Amino acid sequence: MERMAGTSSTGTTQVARSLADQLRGWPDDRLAQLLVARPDLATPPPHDSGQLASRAATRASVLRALDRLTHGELAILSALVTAGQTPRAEVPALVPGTSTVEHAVRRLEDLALVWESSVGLRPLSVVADLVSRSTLPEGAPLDGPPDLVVTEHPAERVDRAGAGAAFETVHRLEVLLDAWGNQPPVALRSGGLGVRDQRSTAALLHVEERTAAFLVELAGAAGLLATGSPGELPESWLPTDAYDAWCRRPAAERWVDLVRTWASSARIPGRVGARDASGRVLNALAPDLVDPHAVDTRLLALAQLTALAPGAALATGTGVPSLVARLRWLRPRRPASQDALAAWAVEEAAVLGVTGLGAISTAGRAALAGDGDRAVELLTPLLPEPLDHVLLQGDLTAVAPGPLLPELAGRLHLVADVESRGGASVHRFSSGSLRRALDAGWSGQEIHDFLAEISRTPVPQALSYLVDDTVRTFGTLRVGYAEAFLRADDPAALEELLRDRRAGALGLRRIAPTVLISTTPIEVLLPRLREIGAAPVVEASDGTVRVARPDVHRARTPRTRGAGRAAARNAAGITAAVSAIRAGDRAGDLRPPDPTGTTPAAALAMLRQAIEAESAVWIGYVDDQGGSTERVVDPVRLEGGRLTAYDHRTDGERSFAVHRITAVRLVADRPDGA
Amino acid sequence: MNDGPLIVQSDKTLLLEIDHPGAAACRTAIAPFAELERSPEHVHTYRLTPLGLWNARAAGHDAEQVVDTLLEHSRYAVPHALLVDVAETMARFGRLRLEKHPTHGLVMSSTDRPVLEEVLRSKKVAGLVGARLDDDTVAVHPAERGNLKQVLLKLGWPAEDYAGYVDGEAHAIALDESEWTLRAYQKEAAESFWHGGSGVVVLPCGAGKTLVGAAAMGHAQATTLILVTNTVSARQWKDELVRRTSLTPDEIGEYSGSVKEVRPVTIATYQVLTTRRKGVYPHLELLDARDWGLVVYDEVHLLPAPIFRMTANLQARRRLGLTATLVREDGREGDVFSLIGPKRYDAPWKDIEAQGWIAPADCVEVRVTLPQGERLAYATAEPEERYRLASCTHHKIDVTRRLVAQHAGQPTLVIGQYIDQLDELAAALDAPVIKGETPVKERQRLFEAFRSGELGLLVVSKVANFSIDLPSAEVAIQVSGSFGSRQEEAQRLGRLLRPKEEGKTAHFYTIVSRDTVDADFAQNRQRFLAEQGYAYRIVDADA
Repeated sequence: MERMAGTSSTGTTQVARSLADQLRGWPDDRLAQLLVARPDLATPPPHDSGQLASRAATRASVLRALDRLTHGELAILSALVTAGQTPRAEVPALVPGTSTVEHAVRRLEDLALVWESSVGLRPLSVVADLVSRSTLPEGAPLDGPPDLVVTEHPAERVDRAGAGAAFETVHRLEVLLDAWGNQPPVALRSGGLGVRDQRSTAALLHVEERTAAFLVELAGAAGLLATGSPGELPESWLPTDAYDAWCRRPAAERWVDLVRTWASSARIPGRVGARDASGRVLNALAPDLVDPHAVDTRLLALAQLTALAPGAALATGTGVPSLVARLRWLRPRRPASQDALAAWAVEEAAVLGVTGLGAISTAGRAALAGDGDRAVELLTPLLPEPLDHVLLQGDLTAVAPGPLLPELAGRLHLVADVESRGGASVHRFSSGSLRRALDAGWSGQEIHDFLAEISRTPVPQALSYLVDDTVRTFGTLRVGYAEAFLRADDPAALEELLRDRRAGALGLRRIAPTVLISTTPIEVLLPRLREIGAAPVVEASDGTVRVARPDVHRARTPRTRGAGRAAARNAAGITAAVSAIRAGDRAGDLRPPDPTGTTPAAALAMLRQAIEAESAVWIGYVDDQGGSTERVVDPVRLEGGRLTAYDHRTDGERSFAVHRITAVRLVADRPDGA
Repeated sequence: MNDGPLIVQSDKTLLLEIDHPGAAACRTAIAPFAELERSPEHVHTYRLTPLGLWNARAAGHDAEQVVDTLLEHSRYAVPHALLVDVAETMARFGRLRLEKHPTHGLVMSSTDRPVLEEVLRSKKVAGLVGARLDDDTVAVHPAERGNLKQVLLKLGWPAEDYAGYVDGEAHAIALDESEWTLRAYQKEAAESFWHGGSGVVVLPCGAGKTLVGAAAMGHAQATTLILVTNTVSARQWKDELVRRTSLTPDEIGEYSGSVKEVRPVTIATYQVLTTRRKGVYPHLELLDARDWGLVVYDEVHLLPAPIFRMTANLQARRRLGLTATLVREDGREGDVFSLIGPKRYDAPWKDIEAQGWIAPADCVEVRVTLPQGERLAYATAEPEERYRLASCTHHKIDVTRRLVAQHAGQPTLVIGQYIDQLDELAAALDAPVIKGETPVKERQRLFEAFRSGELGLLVVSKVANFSIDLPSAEVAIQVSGSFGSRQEEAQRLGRLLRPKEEGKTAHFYTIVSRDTVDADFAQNRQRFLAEQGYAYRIVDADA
């Protein structure tokens, strides 16, 4: 309560002994401001002002705070650093030629970079260290940022141009994701989109590659695109299920979503196609295509534009450089990449339709201010209304003079090919496209009805003819599965067979007066037909009759080997088995009474001894599968951590890893070999 | 939302809804920079191309005007990228200028130094320019004026030609309008050409291109060289000029395979100019035989490649191109632009027709079914024989006979590709036939008879396709034609679209065998005609 009483004053009149002391004296809202401006101080919530002050004085945190200072503020801060503690009234004298010192000092205090002691204002000591190292650009004005170079456009035209771009972008994402839903591009192992896919995307959307990269990235950031492996395809980029829901919403709402996504995305599609530090080309959708300053710079750049009067646009050519210069003044400590980030922000805003003709549109302004409903309200009347009809023409095209209702568009895409799309779309009918509809189960009449229904004008005769022509030739050739065919010159014979009850299970179907087909394989069919009493003859694939003799079964003659060789093989097998058994017994006998292991050093010593003595040893060995075995071997040599020895069990030389030998026991005398 | 008639697509097509009340105004506004691609009944398609935009630039329109026009008439918002692209493309024209320099003669200069540096660095330009005079100017050899323009266009930096023209040898030519008057659009076309300096006038067949040429000569008042496609067409030009202008037959010379006259007005065929003997073109000197003040190219879309090369050397003379279409099957539209000049006048066919100058045409596709026997022969034929088999079915002769009978009394042309079929038709219809082997004299006699009405029915092969004036044909029946190229269709239709007496409708029949490649080709034709805005009907011969 006592502290609360102290906060009633602004804190600047009371003399503080430390930063912590000063913070303690701040009113709550000012403290809150500090935590908003320097969010890193707030997580996790500090215990008390002391901890807050010490956090605020850490090098990392101060660096972040310095990053957000303008050129003018930094100039004052560095003057304070040089001058040491300075009474408030004397500060303006430190930086001659500025009129905004008071404001700047206030901000430095707000950010807890400067506090006021009994002697005067003093920067945090760590600030002194960091600021003196940063070099300030010479000659830049201290008073305020350089102005933007602007031109004026009628606000109404700006809004129309912006709405045009907005619609295009929403529409292009739809085209893109529809196309990728059908033919998804493979995701690179590094997670990005291949250069070739990006190029074909640009061609698909009629945009430059950089714009294509931006749109792809936008879809990704908006959660409309993700990797997945559908069916047997490799990991690919696919529209997400959120996309389907997205499609059903009004265009204006979708656009507002995209603007929000974009404004808060750290991704930098502008870098696509450039090379990173190690010389690798950066791909769209690659995970490392981010910049920590992207969001901040984008918002700052947009804030400069929104601060202009409605209709004021960046001038062609000189506008963007002036914006870059302004941002440099506002954030002088940012890396040089800030310039590019700002230019991209402007470019992307134009593609997205946040700006039109270079000026922020009213809808864009609302969307950026977070007022989504207002943005939708402003944009909707500028967007084309979905249509329920098309114009059918004698050159076999259908022109939709605006976007079509999704359901209608779906049906039209089935019967016609898209030739040109944008605000309006041109669809061409061809026998191929009509056949596609017939394949999908439409009848000729349905196509005629559909055309009559969607057209505001009479259906051109040429189109009706095309439909009829296509229907007439559709399905002239029929293809189906059959296991066997049955033909006879006498239709009556086939009729008889077809009606025979016993033939019911044979799956017979008549496809011509003299031809039946069957779903039963020929091997089964033949005896069945004979049982029924028919006398079938088998035709070969070339149409000739294959004469079949009655089936008499024969077995394959077994091959025999010479008796001597077999005996020899058996003898060898037995010998091997015996030696294995013997060796096993021996090993068992020789198992030391104490199951303890041998130390590696002792084991090595014993093995060497055995080699010298040419004697056999018993070893415990852990094999590749981790099972422990025991065997008796005659060690031959020991080198490179491996023991080469004659193994009694397998009757041959093999090598053992020494570190897997768990125990070694000398065997009194060498057993007789097999 | 703006309720304009135009929809601007991001693929650079413009869709114009013609039933819209604002359509006519919009069409006039966009015509200078957009090329009409298709004009079917409801929605016309225009396209923005670099050439079209440069044509507009050459005609004095700037990017802002184009952008404003699009924004003004567009129903929906215009794609931003497209506007940027329009501005960028148009800004490329005229960065480089060809000019006369008081001391150095022909020079190329630029206000944009990087552009000049860029083109000078190109290997193709290197041989065409001379010394660098200063930072912004480089000398150009006068003989390379055309080649340079051609190369610059290919590099995407088309130059504006301010170097002017020679006046040529003066020669009095006046239009003799005692019995007729120049139509408004013809006058407009000739004037636009004259103010532009050089360039191309696009008018449909039958819209009186010859008269535009004559009017241009009236402006020039100088000796004129006219290049035409063939001898028959040369004679038609001569007759027309004698009839419509103050020129007498003695002042007009023909320069062709048979006659070589050089007179104040000389009409030469492409063929004679491009005749090559021992690697040289012996008749090329014609181009320098007189100090021509005007060179007229008839049927620019057929201009052979060697003539382009020759034209490159004629850049100091005024050049007028006349054509029904700028579309060239060889895609050399750019050469026409850089060597002859930008488009100066263009009128959509339908418009001229609506003004009553061209008879409306009734286009009918008559479908015949191949008899069973021929169908089998067709099915088993080699692919390269199929078209011939399908298009030469005997069934077509019956149908032709019926059509001819139906239009008895109206001048009728029967057009075909295969000589055997034509002979058969001629025999069946008892009509004379004009084929490739028919001598020029005989052809002219037949054409003359047909024109005068003495002869009511004529069977012609495709040799008759180009540039022959048959003003009185009212019915054309096409029985076969190779592969339905767009150009050929334009010509065939042109046959019928010559001005007719009041209220008469021309009929254009194509007889097509159903379910064959013939029908596939017919589909191209149908598309072309529909795109040109003609109503197209299909009729079954058997029904």
